[in-house]
Amino acid sequence: MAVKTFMLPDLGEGLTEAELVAWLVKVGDPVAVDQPIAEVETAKSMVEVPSPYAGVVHQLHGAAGETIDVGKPLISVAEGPGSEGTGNEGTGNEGSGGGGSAEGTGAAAAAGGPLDGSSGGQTYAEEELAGARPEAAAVESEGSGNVLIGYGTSGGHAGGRTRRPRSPRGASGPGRAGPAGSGAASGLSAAPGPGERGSLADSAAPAQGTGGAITLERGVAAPLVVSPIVRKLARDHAVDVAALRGSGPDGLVLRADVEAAIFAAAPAESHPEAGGAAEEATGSPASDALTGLPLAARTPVKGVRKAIAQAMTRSRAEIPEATVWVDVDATALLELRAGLKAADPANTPGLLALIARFTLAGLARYPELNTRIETAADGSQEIVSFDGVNLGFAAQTDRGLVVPCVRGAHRLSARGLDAEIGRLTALARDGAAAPKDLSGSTFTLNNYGVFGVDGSAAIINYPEAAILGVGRIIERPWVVNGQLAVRKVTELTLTFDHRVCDGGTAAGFLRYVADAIQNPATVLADL
Amino acid sequence: MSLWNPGSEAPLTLWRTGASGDPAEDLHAGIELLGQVRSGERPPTLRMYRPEPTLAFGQRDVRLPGYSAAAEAAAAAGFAPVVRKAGGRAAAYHRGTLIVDHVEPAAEAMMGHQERFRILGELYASTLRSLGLDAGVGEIPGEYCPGEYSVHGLPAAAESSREAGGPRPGPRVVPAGAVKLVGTAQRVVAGAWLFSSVFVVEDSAPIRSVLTDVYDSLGLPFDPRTAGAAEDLVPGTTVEELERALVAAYALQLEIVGG
Repeated sequence: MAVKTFMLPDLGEGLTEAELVAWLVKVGDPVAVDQPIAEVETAKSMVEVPSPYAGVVHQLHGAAGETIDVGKPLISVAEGPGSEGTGNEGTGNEGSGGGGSAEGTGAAAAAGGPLDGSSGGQTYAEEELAGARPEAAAVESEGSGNVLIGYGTSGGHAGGRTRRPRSPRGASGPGRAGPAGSGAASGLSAAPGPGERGSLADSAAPAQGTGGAITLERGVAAPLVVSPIVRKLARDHAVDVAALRGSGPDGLVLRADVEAAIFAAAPAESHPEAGGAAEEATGSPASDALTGLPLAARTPVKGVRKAIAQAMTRSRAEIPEATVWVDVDATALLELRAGLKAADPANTPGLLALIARFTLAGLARYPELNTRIETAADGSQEIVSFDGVNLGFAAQTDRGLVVPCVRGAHRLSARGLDAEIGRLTALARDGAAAPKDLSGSTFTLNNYGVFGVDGSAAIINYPEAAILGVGRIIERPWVVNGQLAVRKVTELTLTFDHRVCDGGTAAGFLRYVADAIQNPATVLADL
Repeated sequence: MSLWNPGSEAPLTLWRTGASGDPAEDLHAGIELLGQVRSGERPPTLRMYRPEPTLAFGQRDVRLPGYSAAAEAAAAAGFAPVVRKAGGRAAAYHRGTLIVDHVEPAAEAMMGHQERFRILGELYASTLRSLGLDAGVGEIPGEYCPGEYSVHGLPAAAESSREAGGPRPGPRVVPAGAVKLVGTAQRVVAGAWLFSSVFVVEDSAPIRSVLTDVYDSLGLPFDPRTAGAAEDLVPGTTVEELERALVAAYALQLEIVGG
């Protein structure tokens, strides 16, 4: 009789312990694969832990109320004496819950029976490992495979293993069974590349065992990986953690080890699809573990994309931003511009230039938004303000998002702004802009309206203090003097660094620009 | 695809229910839903209801010596004592609150469980912000049912004094004067998760009062000043309003069907 000990699995995200809240089984109880055995709680998540083994509960390692460390024994299950060598008999035992021997049999049959009767006597642990072999993946993919995180019960033919009744399930067809829930789960649990099936053992820390158990009679060294993130990383990149030499304590496989393996394997990144139609339910290393979909591509983040990614990340990480927005009737401004254009078509500034001009007038009134926060080495901070405005404007180019900068914009008229915006846009689109043309702005105008959308909670162009967005201009019903009218309406959004000013200032500025658009005459005095 | 479940394209089915009159039954319905979503009998679901006065104890509370006194105190205050299956310590709710059970199937249900606290906490904070509240995510010192990703609101006066306010993803340093507006907890089973939240919108006084007695009996720390309601910060905020805003906030993330 083999006694297997199940370690408290890794709970993920740096959590190293959990409180044992309740046992759902007691010593002597028959237990089936997938059967919930305990509830543990960690960081406000109550977790129902399923048994990876079938048999009879041999020992509970702890009492309700105790705290258990990840990787420490949780429960020991004794496999019944009848569990070996009867691989082809434990079929169709759905929901019987009838004692350890049948359960163990079912589990063993799951991996071995249907394909190869001779392996029906394998222990659960070996079956787990077998699941890591590509040729076994097709069988694996059909099991319940309920998992919590990176470990779980083995897959297997639904008819060939014993599970607790949950929902009516059809006979095991090829591929994924049924709708969400258990069926969907199987897709994932079946997805693992090599090494996945060892992940239970990963949590077992220094212990030995395969597939997550300490199999007392056996002593096969298992790869040691504690972090689920590392396991997932390895799985996603089809790295076999069992083949790695861990550089951590006791041979623990660390993220760096997996990354090194990924890097080493990089030239052979596109794995050939292993197997044929039988692989459809994933199990191939080229399929995405999270979704079960075939991987289409992995695109390195570099160049402009990388610069954008870094700037966005930095902005969101450092700037506590808030957003205010308002709808604006732009009809008057459009009419004004149409009048100018009729008089002098060649010299009429574009709408963006006009709005930029209003923006600059607004910044003169609300200079807090034309600042940046500087943090000294000792952590102290200063708000730095400027005499003048370098106005950035977001421009989409074939190579990605860039922010050309109109230097000294505060000195320019709407016409001057229009010329500069036109010149810089052309440079950026041609890829001919110099670094100084694309940097140094103190405030950014974002004309996402060209994409046909109304609003955007934009990310501030770090290290500036705010970004003003202009949505599309579209005809909408609007109340004018108590009457419903069709007006040309746009939406302005202002995302600002809440450290430099409060909502009142931001709203004041936004209202100023909005009023200028709605009634351009009011702003004359400030221009 | 949603922020909290990049692997899913499935819409979220809205299920508005009334309170049954039996708080234990209403609580249990969430657990039943979890089982049904896990088995595929029901789609990913967002369940919302306004509960009867209930004191939902955590399972760990039950083992504390003061538990029966706490349960009696709750009952005496008109809050039905029940034990919930999600994580966390005792929480109180009534008709002025909204219970939100967000349930999705997940192949690796434990993967990202803390991330869900962060992302959904932020979603809920943004919902409150859309109602004019200054809301954020983070543990409030002395709060009931403490958690790293509780959603809190700040009185308008605190606005100018705080160092780093504004909407931020993830927990922030919670300024003094913050009150808890949303408590979040999860139950994770193999194949699915239940993200259960209490939005306190109206009438915080009875909640404050019963929690004071309950935490006192349990011998757990609790600062009554941290228990509030949305309407304490923005007068006139209602549960209906919050419900609409929440559905709208979810709808920005993924398709919502039903309701």
